Amino acid sequence: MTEYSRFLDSSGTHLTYTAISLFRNFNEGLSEKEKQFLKHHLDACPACSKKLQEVEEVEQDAPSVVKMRSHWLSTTPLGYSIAAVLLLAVGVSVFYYWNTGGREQPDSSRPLNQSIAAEPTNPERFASNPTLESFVGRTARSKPGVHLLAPGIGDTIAVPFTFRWEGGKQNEEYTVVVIDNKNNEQWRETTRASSLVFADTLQSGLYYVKLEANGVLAHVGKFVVTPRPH
Amino acid sequence: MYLSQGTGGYAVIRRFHQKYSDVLTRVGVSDIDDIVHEVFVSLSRTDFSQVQNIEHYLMRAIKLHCWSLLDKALRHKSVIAENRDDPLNDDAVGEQNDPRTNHPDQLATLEGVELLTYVNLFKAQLSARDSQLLNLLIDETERSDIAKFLELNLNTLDTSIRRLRIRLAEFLKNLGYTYKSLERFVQN
Repeated sequence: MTEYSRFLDSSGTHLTYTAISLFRNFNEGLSEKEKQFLKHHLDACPACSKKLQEVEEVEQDAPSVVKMRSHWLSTTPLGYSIAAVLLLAVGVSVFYYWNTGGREQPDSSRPLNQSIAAEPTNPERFASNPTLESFVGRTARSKPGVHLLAPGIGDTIAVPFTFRWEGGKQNEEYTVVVIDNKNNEQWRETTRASSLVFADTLQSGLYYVKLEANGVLAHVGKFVVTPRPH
Repeated sequence: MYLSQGTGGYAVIRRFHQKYSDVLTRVGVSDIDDIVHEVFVSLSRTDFSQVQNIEHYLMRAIKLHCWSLLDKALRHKSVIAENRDDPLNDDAVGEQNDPRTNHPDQLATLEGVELLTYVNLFKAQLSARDSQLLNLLIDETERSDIAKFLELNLNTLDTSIRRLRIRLAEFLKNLGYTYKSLERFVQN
């Protein structure tokens, strides 16, 4: 290594971009002579110092990890295995939820011993309605609005269910209107209180709820009714 | 896997391609896939068995190989320019394929800086102890001091040094450095 060491003792050579990148990226592995060689030259040579700035600039934009997790998951056999296990877990969870979800909803007051006929699922009933979606979550009145507390947007509910809201004036008349995803009215009820119990039967599907205050649309929410258990 | 689209390695190469594509074209690396290929070929020569943190090492090595490609392209550009200026040089076109084979006055400096890069890539493949030994040799530390520092007797140290030299020679040979002028750097 004598010749190599002697070369490092000289400082007349301009550094390559590779050597500068080495100084930045592999500094901890350099020997003392190698470090001194690079450092002395960079300190003394404006051209190489400028190169160092260029290297820093380019490398600064580069990510610090070599592979992204999502890509790793989709390209390695282990990734496929993990993805398969996750899918299976999600499938089992959905199956379990659909079979037990109604009973576990905190807002649900449906009796556990209620005998309900099995109901086939129709995917069309779960499709979003673009027109109604544009109103969801918006408080329609210009003054500080009345807004629904329950159900939360997109909640899955079980009947009977209590609609709750807040923010209205005293003695204001509220109307709750439940409509399906085809904009067909399913249920309507009026009250001066801040809650209403819904006890009618609904098929599984996506529903929208309109809350009107003194006949003026105040708030729109949506909820899901899942298939009834066997 | 480490250089496919969506990986950090690919992002580094894309950044290089965006900034230096015009220069890299001079060494036949016209599009991003060519750079990916070149970097892959360079990385495939690495023995990863001793590399401590492969992902960390790879990201740094990918950057280094990208810069190495740029240096190669810039060197190529300067050789072409010099050959054009030399009316007596009939082999100018042929020489463009390997700028390292000519210009003996530049060889020593070029080889020295190149060797600095490759010796350090080699170090990344060594055990911590071997890497330490190599650094002590580069720093021209006395054998007796190395033996004391690494707590080895002189015979064992000599054996370790001999094995290290063989590995380094093999590493450089795999990189294509077979000509005599480079050997003098690593012997003795």
